[in-house]
Amino acid sequence: MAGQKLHQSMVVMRAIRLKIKPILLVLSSVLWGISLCWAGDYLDSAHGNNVYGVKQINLSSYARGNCGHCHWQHASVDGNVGSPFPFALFALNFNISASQAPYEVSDNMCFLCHSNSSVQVNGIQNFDYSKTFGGTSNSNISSILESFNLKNLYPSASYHNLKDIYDFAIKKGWPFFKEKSNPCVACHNPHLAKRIKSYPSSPASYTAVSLPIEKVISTRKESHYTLWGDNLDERMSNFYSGRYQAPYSYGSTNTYEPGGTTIYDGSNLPDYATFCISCHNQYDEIYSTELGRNLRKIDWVSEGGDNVATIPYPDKHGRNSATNSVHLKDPYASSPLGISIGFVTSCTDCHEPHGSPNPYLLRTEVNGILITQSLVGNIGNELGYFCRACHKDDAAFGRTNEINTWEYIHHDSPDAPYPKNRCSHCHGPGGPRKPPIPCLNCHKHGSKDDWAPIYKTGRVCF
Amino acid sequence: MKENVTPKITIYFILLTNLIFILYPVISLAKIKKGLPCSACHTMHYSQHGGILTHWGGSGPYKALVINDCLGCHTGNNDGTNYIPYVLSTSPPDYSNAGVSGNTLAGGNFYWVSQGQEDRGHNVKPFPPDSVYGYTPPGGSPLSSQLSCAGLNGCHGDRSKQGDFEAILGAHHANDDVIDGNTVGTSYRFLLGIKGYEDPKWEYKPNVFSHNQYKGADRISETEVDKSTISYFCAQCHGNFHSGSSQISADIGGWGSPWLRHPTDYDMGNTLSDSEYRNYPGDYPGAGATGSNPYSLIAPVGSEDVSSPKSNILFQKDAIITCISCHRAHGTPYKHNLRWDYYGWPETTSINGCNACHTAKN
Repeated sequence: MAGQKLHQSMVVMRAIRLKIKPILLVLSSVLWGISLCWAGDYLDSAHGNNVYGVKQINLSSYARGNCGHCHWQHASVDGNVGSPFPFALFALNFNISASQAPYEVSDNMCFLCHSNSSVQVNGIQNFDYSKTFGGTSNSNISSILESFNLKNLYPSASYHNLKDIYDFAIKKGWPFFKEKSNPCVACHNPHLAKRIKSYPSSPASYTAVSLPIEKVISTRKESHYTLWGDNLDERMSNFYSGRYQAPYSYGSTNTYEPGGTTIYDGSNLPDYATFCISCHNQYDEIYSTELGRNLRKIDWVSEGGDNVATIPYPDKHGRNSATNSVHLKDPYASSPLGISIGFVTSCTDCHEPHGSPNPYLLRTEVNGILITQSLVGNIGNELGYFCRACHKDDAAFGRTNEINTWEYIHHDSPDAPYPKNRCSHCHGPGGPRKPPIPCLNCHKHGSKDDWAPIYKTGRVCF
Repeated sequence: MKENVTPKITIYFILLTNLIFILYPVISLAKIKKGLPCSACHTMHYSQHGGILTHWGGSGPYKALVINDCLGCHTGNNDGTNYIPYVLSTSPPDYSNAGVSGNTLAGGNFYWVSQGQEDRGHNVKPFPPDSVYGYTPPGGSPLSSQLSCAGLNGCHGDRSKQGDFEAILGAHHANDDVIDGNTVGTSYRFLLGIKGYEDPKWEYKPNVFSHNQYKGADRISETEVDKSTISYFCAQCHGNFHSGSSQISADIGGWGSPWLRHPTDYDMGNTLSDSEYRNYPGDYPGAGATGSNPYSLIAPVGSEDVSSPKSNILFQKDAIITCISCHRAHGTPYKHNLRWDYYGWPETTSINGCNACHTAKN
């Protein structure tokens, strides 16, 4: 009896199987067909796009955007079996002996395309941040390699030292970063990074960066394996709601960075603050080969005004708002945000990501103006030429025709911190016109006026 | 009392007859279709009615009294009813959907090589040798002469034997109930030493339930060699592409990313559980797929257990990358006998089997 039932059920099952199989076959074929219409993240990326993606001059048989332009699965192409390179790349990923600029093309796999001797068909032009998103630049570079090698042209140039990045990434033990990794991938995922340069007014939607750390945003996990800035809650407008005022675009008083549009609230800009503080934060020690010391730590997120006692003191250019008053130029002075104090800035408002003719990777175009003066000199207040793009100097107050003097805000304004006596204690000896004090004595990331010999105010000065 | 033994003898006779009937095609005609006459493959005198038959080869007589050479017998168009697997067609084969739904088999087809597209397959005799590589397989050492189907410089059969016929002799008739790799006849597709599950239809219009199952190994070093895997078989000629010190992995531990060359005999079960590889096969599930991680026929993976075809991947030594995951042994319409038009992606085709494993790179 039991055997008969088993036999019956087997017959039924077989009949069902026979009917289901063709249906499943058809269904899976349809799904398979549909799936082929989807373009994924790589195909949308700068490297993988089939219109403007990777295409080596000497590899014409590979389609544009094809993996083979960077990866050789067997270290062999067109009959030539060569020495293999990590990640099955066609060249050395990164030369860890290249500890300082200037770099050679062969020092970094990326430079093989992102240089003026690019192996990419028709080459690649990459301008600096100032020019691409601010509107102009006087760095005169047109490739990423050039931006790293500006020390060839400018003694005071600075750059994001690649070996320092590499060392830091290894020290942090980020899972995606291997001993053979390229330091560029600390910021960029080459399989995701979009062609941001072509969309200067929409850098968030076409972002080229990925967080090196894992960060949960809402319920999403953002990391090296996702783009940063593409989601609405990964924009500068979201870093500190209602506090980000975009600087002017070059030469304009009514359009803003990035890209010179009327968008002023950073909603089209990746949250570069969160991005950069993945490394440049209040906790991590980062050694700078160029400076010969650890970088200053940066607290861009804490608040508390001048009363915070923890070092580094939280920066007022970050979320730690100015406490009394601030004398800013437009667009901050008459910000459409409806505030005149308490702004937050994006790191890219002041800094280049790769390199700059200026020290500290300071941009050459800031808040709509081109910085033509050298920011390095014997006096020490040359950095003021940069700061005055946003902050009012004496000339902006109409007190003098000379630019880059700062007496009013330090000594004369209603909330001036320092009295106008006992000058030599701070300014040192000199004639009636005392020499200026180097800005960096007080105005640097994480700093109060602890330097001042007298009249210390305890105010956070950056 | 005298026992009547007639009924017992009758029963024994019937049982014995049935046993012989059941075993006969298995033990004597392993690769030969049941009921096929000897004359389908053999001729005693290479002569019939004073000449040769039209379906015989014209260069006989052939060794082993067969009617044609390897390619001669294996030339034709697969239609699902043929009892000889055809690996060479004289007209363009249907290679639809990366060779999955047309009329080519698992190994592909030599058609494109036969038409002078030398980089579309293995350049076996009688087709001209590769003009770029000559007799040197990429990644390996030069052969003593041009590649042949079997024999000293062949793929199939015993490579210690000089000629095609000597190397393959008897294999078609061997008992291949168990593919143990011990003899040519009991090796996967007569690839001596190799194990695997042989789809009875050689993957003619396969689905996830009916396909070859390729033998792989979950290796732990770039120098480790398992001589029963399909990738090892390829490595016998293309050595550096499979194994060797400082040839495959740049990982400090000697096995793992960063890879120097694309790994084979590597189980994707070794990847992080949230890695893109765990989404295999991405957009490329095989026909008939159900459930999680179905087998892909476009980019198949191997396994250590090859007792039966896998319909789903569990990442337990069954997600092993093999040479065959990307290439077909005989030939395809695409460069380097790749299973799909890799070189054309993403400009001229949207099919890229790479994405079956590299699921986040589409």
